[in-house]
Amino acid sequence: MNSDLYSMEELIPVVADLTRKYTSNESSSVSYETANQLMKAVRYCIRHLSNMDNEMMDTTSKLPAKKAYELGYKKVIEKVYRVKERYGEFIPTFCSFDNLNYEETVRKGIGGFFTYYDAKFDPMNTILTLDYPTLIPVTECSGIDAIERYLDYIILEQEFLNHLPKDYIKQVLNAYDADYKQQFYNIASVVLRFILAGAFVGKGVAIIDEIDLIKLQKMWKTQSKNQLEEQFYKILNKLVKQYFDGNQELYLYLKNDLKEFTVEIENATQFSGIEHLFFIV
Amino acid sequence: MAEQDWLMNLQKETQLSTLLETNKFAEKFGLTLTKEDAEILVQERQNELKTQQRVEFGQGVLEKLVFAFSDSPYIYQDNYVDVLGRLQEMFYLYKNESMDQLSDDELIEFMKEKFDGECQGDLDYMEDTCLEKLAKWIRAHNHQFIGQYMEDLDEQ
Repeated sequence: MNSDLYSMEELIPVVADLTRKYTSNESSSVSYETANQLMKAVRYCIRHLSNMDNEMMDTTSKLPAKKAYELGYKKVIEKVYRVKERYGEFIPTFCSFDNLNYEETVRKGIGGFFTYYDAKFDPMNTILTLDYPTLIPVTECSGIDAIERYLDYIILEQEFLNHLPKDYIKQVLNAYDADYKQQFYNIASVVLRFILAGAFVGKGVAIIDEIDLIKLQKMWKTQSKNQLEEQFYKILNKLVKQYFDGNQELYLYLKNDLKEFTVEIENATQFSGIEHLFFIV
Repeated sequence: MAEQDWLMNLQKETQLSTLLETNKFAEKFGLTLTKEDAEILVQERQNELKTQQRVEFGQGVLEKLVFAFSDSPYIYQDNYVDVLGRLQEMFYLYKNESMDQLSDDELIEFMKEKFDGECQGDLDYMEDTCLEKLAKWIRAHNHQFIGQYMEDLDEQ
C-alpha cells in the first residue's frame, strides 16, 4: 500500500501515538530528527500492507491510517520472523571460502541485524553497510526489506558455488588473487567468469592458463560487446538449465555480472590485455 | 486551508484553556494568568519549539512548569509570566542540550531545585551554571539518567 494515500493530517495522530510510546510518556516533545524518523517508521509499515488487506474492506474507502499502520507493522514483524527463520536454515551451509568480508558480512553482520533491528521505531534502518557486494546491489530498499533481498542474493550465489568442488573454487580464487581472503569483491563473480571463459575454450571446470588466455584474447577481440554479451547469456542459460533445474532467479542474478564483464573485456582487448581480468599480480 | 486554520485555532484554544485552568492551583500562591498572559505564553511556546526544532504533540510543558514552580519563593505576580516564559525557553533548550536523555519531570525537578536553591531565583545564573554543567555531564557520559542524576552529579 502506498503510504502517500494518507495525508499528513491523517498520519500525525499515528505518529503522535508512536512518539508517546517512543518516549514512554516521559517527554512531551521530541526533536525534528526523531519526529521525522517516527514519521518514516509509520510510512514504512503502511507500505508493507498488501493490497489484499485493503480489499477486505469496503472498496470505496481506504483503511483508517491507524489501522493501516497497525496491520502494516504486523506485516513487518512477520517478515522479520520469516527472514530470520530462513537465515537460520541457510547459515549452517554457508561457506565464505575464507574471504573475511564475506564471512563477517553474512555470518556476523546479518546475524547481528536481528539482535539490533528496531521494527517499531526505526524499521527503515538497515543498520548494516552490507560490505560484501552482491551482483545486484541492494539499494532501492531498506530495513528488513533490504536484508531479505540481500539474503535472497546470497542464497542464490551460494547455491551456485556449492555446486562446484570447494577445492576448485579456492584454486580459482587463489589463481585470481593471492590476497583474495582480504578483499572486498564478489566471490561468485570471479568463479563465474572463470567458468564462462573456460566454456569458450572448451575447458569446463578447470583453471585457464596462458595458452587459454591467448586463445580468448584472439576470440574476444573479434567480437563486439553485444555479441559477447549474447554468447555469455547463452552459455549461462545452458549452465543453469543443465545444473540448476533452469532456476530463473539464479540465471537473472548471475546474468547481472555479465554486462560489466563484457565492458571489461572490451577495454582489456583494446588496451591492457585480458590476463588482468583473470589474474591479479 | 480553512479547515487547517480551524484545527490550529482549536488546538490553540485548547492550550489556552488548559493553561488558564492552572490558575485554580497557582492562585493559592498568589499567582494568576490572564487570557492575554496565556496567549503570550502559548505563542512563545510555538516560537521556542521552532527555534529549538522540536515537535510537541500534546499540551506542552507549561502546565507542568506552573505546578512545579508556583510555590517558589522567587516567583510573584509581577514576574510570573516572564519567569514562566524563560523557564519554558530553557526547558526546550536543555532538552536538546541533554540529548533527550532526561525525562520532562527529571529536567523540571532539576530546574526547580536549582532555581530555589543555589540560583536564588536568578534564571541567567541557573542557565549559565547549573544547566550548562548538567548538559555537559550528560553529553560526556551519555548516561541513562532516569532517577539517578542527583547521586551521580553529587559524586563529581
